[in-house]
Amino acid sequence: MTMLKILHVEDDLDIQEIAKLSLETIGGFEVLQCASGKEALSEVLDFAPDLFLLDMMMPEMSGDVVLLNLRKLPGLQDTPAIFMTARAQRNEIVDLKALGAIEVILKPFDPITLPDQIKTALSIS
Amino acid sequence: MGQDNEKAINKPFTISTICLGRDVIVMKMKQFQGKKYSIGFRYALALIIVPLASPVVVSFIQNATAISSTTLGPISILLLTLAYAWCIWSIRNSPEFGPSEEEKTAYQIKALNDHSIICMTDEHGTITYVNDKFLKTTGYSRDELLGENLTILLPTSIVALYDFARQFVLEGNTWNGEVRMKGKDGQNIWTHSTVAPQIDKAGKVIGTIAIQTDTTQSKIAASEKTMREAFHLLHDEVYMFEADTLRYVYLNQAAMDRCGWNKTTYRKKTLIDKRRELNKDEIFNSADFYDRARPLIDGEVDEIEFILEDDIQVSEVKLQLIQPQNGPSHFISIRRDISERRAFEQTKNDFISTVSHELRTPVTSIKGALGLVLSGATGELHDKTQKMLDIAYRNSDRLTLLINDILDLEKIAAGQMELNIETVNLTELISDSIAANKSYAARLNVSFVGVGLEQKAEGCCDSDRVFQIMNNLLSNAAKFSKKNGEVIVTLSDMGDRICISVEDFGKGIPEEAQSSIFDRFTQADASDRREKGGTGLGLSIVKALVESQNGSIYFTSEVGKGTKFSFELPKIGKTKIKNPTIGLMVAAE
Repeated sequence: MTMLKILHVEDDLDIQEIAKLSLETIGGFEVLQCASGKEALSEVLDFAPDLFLLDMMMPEMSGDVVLLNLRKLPGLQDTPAIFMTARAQRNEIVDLKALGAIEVILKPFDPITLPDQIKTALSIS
Repeated sequence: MGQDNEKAINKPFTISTICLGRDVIVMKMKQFQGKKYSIGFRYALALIIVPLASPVVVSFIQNATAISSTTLGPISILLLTLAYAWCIWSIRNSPEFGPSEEEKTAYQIKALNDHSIICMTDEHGTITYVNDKFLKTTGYSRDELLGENLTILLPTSIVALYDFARQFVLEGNTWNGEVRMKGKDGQNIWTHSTVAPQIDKAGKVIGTIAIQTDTTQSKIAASEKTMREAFHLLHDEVYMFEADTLRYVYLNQAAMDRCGWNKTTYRKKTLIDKRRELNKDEIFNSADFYDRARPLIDGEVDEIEFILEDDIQVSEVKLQLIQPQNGPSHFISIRRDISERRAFEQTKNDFISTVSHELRTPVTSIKGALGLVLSGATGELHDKTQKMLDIAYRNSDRLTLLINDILDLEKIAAGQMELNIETVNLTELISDSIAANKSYAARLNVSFVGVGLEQKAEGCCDSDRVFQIMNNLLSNAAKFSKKNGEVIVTLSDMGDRICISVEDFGKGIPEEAQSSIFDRFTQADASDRREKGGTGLGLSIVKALVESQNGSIYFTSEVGKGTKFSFELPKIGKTKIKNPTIGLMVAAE
């Protein structure tokens, strides 16, 4: 079985570190982490991920805009996306789902259960 | 001098004598006008002067005619009687004489009865007499009033004033003042009243008589004037237009300013004119308006509320239909500029959003890092380290809860808690919430018992928020239960509402803490927070959530026996259309 490849875009480096440990050590995923949408857009094609895990609130380019731009790239139209957001407004969650997100994970997230949450969301979708 | 000549002279003399007599009497009358001479005295005056003049008259007639004394006797008496009668008649009809005292009194009483509402009562306030105008004004029949106490005509708020006035009059005084009465149909009747005592021959007060002038019309006119003046000064735009023609009958200054009309021009305009002039909307017609105002016309709602947005401002419009019993119906619409409020709400919304992000980001790192370390993902931990990290982790958890709760409260207070009110199957929802909290309760050796969960119960509410309320109440009940205790969850149908209660048999809330149990950061016992966890915000959120869904919450508690929290939710929503996107812009304009 090949390792599931996740592109994680998160501007907070501490959270990046925690998510990396969680996704690689506990979840057993292969992870590419980027600190901005711009960086993600330039590196994503070489990585060819199976899933986007996107932080919502980031300077310059917010998560939803990152997703819209990723979708424009060849071969990424149908890649599933999961958002992580600290804003728990219901309409935002609805909006993100409308954008094609298979799941919206609220911050603070639990690094122990994060891999399971991702697997569940993928199996449902 | 020949007989013919004598005749010619005597005749006019006779007549002039009678006229003289009359004039003298009239002159005397004039002289006595305004003096306190009785009618009898004046008549006596006539009776003395006429008989004194009569022998003179008779002798003149005798001299002037050839009539014998025997014939002349009765004729002269007849003539004298006629002269006397004419004399009296002319006195009575002379403008100087005027009506008799009796007639004057009768006229006054008639005028008084036409003008005033008159009512007499005995000393106990029981009605003994009312005039016709009283009946016409109040709408009661005489039978309905006589024998009743006057208080049946008075609003309860002025009974105390009435008692005071009645006592004052019964002491022999006359009371003057404004009195509001209630008619048979409950209508307000404003009167200016003079209440005087009725005094019997022995000088004892035996009752009261009230003479009242109906001032309702002028009162209404005055209050309408005041109201219109107040309307005129409002910053909000006020439009009032006829329901059948949609023609404007009133615009306040702000409304006139928007339309560019003045007091004379707006009366010629209709809602449709305004729409066409201001919005250049050619296709809009009155049928469109009536379609949109249908819920008001059909009486389904009391008010239609909507938001209008244009390039310049955001306005909130409220449309109502006024249908008086007698008189034409009118629509009244009030348009308020809420641009500033919107801007403020936006700022606050942005603030809440930013704070939640800024606070949650570091907490995410702290909690995440601690969680990973504690899970052993980074290697084995020394016991003491584990213990310390446990404390740190537990408190980062609490910090997360606190942030969530504060933000929830802020959102509710700012009216930004999004509510998705719909018909919800409460039976299912309550069962789900019990299932969701089961494992938490099991850790505390507490079990949930559902009562009434077999019946179908639907409420008008937000399912997520009710779930949040239940989570709070259930976890609280489990937390404060004794070991191996039970928590009873009851669902009951209250007619137009559904009641859900959560009852524990734990230590109960001390009486002194009961009044502040819904306040922020309150727990019955300060040591509870550390021992039982929780932020002390849960119940204030629960209360705010219940109330924002038009529900109510209450509790009963006894120390040592337990606590029962109950909340009620309506089965049907409020009868008020609130839809910002309804696009009913026409209605207001």
